[in-house]
Amino acid sequence: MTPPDDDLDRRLRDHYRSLSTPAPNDAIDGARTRLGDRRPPRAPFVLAAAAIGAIALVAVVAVIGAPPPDDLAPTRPSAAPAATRAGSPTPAESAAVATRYEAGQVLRVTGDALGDPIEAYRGDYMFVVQVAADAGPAFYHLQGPPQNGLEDASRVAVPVDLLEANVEPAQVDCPAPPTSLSEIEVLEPFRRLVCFDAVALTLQNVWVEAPVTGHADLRREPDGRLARFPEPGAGTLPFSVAEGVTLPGPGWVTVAGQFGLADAACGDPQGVLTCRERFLVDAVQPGRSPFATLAGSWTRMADAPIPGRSSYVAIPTDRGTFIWGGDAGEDATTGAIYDDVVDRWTPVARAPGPDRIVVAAAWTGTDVLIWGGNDGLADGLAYDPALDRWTAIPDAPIDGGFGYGTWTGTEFVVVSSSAEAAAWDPRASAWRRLPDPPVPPGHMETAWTGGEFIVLGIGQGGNERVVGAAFDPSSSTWRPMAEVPYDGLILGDRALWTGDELLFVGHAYDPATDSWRILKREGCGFGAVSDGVWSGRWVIGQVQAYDPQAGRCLTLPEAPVRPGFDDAGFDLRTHEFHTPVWADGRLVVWSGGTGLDGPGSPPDGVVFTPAEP
Amino acid sequence: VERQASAIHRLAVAIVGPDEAADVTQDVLVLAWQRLPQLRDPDRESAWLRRIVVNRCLDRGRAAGRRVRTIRIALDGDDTRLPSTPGPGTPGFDPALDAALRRLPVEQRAVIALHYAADLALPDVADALKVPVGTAKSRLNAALERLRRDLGARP
Repeated sequence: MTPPDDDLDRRLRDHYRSLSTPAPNDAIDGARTRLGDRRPPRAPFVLAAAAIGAIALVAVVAVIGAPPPDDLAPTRPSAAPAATRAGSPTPAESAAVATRYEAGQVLRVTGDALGDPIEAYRGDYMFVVQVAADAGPAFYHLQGPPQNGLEDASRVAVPVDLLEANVEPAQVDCPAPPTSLSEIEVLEPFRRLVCFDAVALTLQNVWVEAPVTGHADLRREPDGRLARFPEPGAGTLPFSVAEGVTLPGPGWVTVAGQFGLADAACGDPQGVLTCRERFLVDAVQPGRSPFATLAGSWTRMADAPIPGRSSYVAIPTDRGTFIWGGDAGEDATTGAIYDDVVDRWTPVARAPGPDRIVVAAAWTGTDVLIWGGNDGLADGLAYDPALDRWTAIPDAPIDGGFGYGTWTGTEFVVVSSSAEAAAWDPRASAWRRLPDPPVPPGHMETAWTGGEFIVLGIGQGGNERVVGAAFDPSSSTWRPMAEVPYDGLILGDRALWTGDELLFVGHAYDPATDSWRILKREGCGFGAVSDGVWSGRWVIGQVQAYDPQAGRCLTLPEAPVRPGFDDAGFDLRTHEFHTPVWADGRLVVWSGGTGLDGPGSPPDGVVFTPAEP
Repeated sequence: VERQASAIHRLAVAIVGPDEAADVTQDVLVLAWQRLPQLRDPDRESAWLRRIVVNRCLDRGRAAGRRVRTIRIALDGDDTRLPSTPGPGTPGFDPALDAALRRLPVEQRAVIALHYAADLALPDVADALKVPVGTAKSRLNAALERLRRDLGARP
C-alpha cells in the first residue's frame, strides 16, 4: 500500500510516538465528576474545572438573509456581566516587559516565515492581544494568520525577540458593520476585534439548536458556539450569553451583542483571548428562518422486534420494507418487515448461515435475493415473504466478498468486491458467469437504470480515480463510462438513479451522452447531495432535500431526538450507517448508529412524510 | 476502562491534537463507564473504545472545522508554562508533518491515526471506522497521498 521507499511511514510512526503522553489525570477526574463520583481528584488541577461543567447543546446558525425586523428592540439584561476591555494586560499578567509593540496593534510579517508551527509568512497579519512574562520568558499573545483554508486563525504565543525581528506595524481596512454571522465568519478574528471591538452589532437569522442561558463558563468549548447552518462544522464562531439573557431554542432568533469583552473569569492571557474572540449576546428577539424548507412531518416508528444495527439490507417489498443482516454485534441473521402504512413490524424467520455485512440484495417481485458479504462469502439466500421461508443459493462462479447487485427483471446480477460478476436465474436455479466489470476491485456504488446496471468502482489500495462501467444485460457487455469527476476526498459516496440521471456526490451522469455535469448546490450542506433516497422529485436525507432540477437544497424539519440518549454533546438525532428507504411516499430511517456507537444500537426509527408528493 | 485511558488519549491526540484530546478522553471515559455493561463481548472492549474515540473525535473535528485553535510554541525547551504538551522540542516531533496532519480533514486524520498511532492493521482500522476494508484502505492512501503532496509543496 505504501511504497517501501517512502519514508512517510517512518516519519508518521516517529511523530506519533513523540505525541504519546499518559491520559491527563484531570480528564479522568473530570469524567468521574460527571458520573457523580465525589472522590477527590488524584492530582491538583485547575483547567479541568472548565471541562467539567454541563455541556450546552448549542449549534447556532446564521446566513445572510432577510432584512431586520422593524420592531427589534432588544431587552437589555438587568444585570450585565462585569466586563472590561481586555486590550491591556492586568498587572499580574504583565511584569514590566519592555516591548516594541503593545496590545491592540496590528502587525504584518516581514520575514520569509515566522517559525514552522506558526506558519506565518511574509505579508500575513497578526493582532497583539497581550504581552505576558509571568516567571518565564516574555511572549506576545497574538491572533495569528489563518492556518489553512479550514480555520479562521490561530492563537499564538510568540517569544518577544522572535516576533519583533520579523514584523512591522500595519493598518487594516474595515468593512461595514456585519448584520449576519456569515459576514462575520469571513473576517479574520483579529479584524473582528480591530474593527468591531465593543461595537454594538445586531445579527439576523441565527438558529439556536437548544436553549442557552446565562453567562456560562467562558472558556468551555464547544459550549456556546455559533455554527452556520446547514453545515455544522463548516463555520463556527465562539459566543457567550450575558447574564439574564436566554437564547430560546430550537428556533430562529435575532441577537444583539458585541466582541471584545472579557472579564476576570477569562483567566490567563490565552483565556482572555478566548473571551475577546467571543460574541457576547446581550439581547435576543424572535427571528425567522431564511431557508426554504421542505414541508412535511416526522413520526416515530414502533420499535422493531429485532436488535438494532447498522449497515443492514433495507429494500421495499410488496409487504413493506424488508430489513435484514448488517452489523448488530450478534443476532444479525434476524430480520423483519416494516409496514409504514400501519406502523407495524412482522418478524421474518431466522436466516440460515453466517452473519453477512455489505451484501448484494434485490427484490424480484416475489422474493428477496441476497448474495455475498464479508469473509468472502460467495453463496446467497432467497427469502419468500409469502411463505416466510429462506432457501439457499449456491456459490456463484466468482470470488466471494462484499456484494453489489440488482434485479434486471429476469436475473440477479451481482458484482463482488473482487470486481467479478455473475448472474443468478432463479427460474433455472443457475448461475452464469459474466464478463468482469472494467472497474477496480474494492468498494462499489451501484444503480439500476432500468436498462443498465451502473457500477462505480471506488477502489481499494490506491489513489486511483473512481472508475465507472455500465452493464447491459441484453448483450451481457460492459460499457466503460466517462471519467468520474470525483477525487475521493469528499465523504458520502452514494450513487442514486433519478430516472434520467445518476447522481453521485456533487455530479450527475447522463447515460445518453456518457457525460457528467457538475451540480449546482445552492443552500446545500458539505456532504454529498446524493446522500439520501430518491423520492421522484428530491434526494431526501435526514437533514436536507436536494432538487437536482433547481440545483438547490431545502431544509427538512428537525427530526425527533432519539429517546434514551440524552448524553450531552452528541447529535441525538443521528442514525449513522442506517440504510435509508423510500417507501409509499415516505423516508424510512431505522436504527443505525447512535453517534455514541458500540453494540446496543436501539431498534428505533423515524419516518418523514413530505407534505407534497 | 481506566486502564485504557492512556490508549484512548493517545488515539485522541493523534486525531484531534493535544489541545482537544483531554476533553475527548474525558467524554469517552464517561461514555465508556456508562455503556460498558452493554458490551457483551469483553474481547471487543478495545475495538469498542476505539470506535467511541473515533466517533467523538469526528464529532469534535467536524464541529471545529473553522474554529480558532491555540498553537503553543516552545524554543529550546525554555517554555516552562507548558511542560506536558508534546510539541516542538519533544524528541521525534515532526513540525512539518504535524502541520500537514492538521491540514487534513478529520476523517483522514482518523484513518492515519488508527493505522500509525494506534498501530492497527487495516481490517481493524475498517472496524473502527465501520467501513469495508477496501474503503479504509483507499481512504488511508488518499490521506497519505495528500500528506505527500502537502509536504512536498511546502518549504
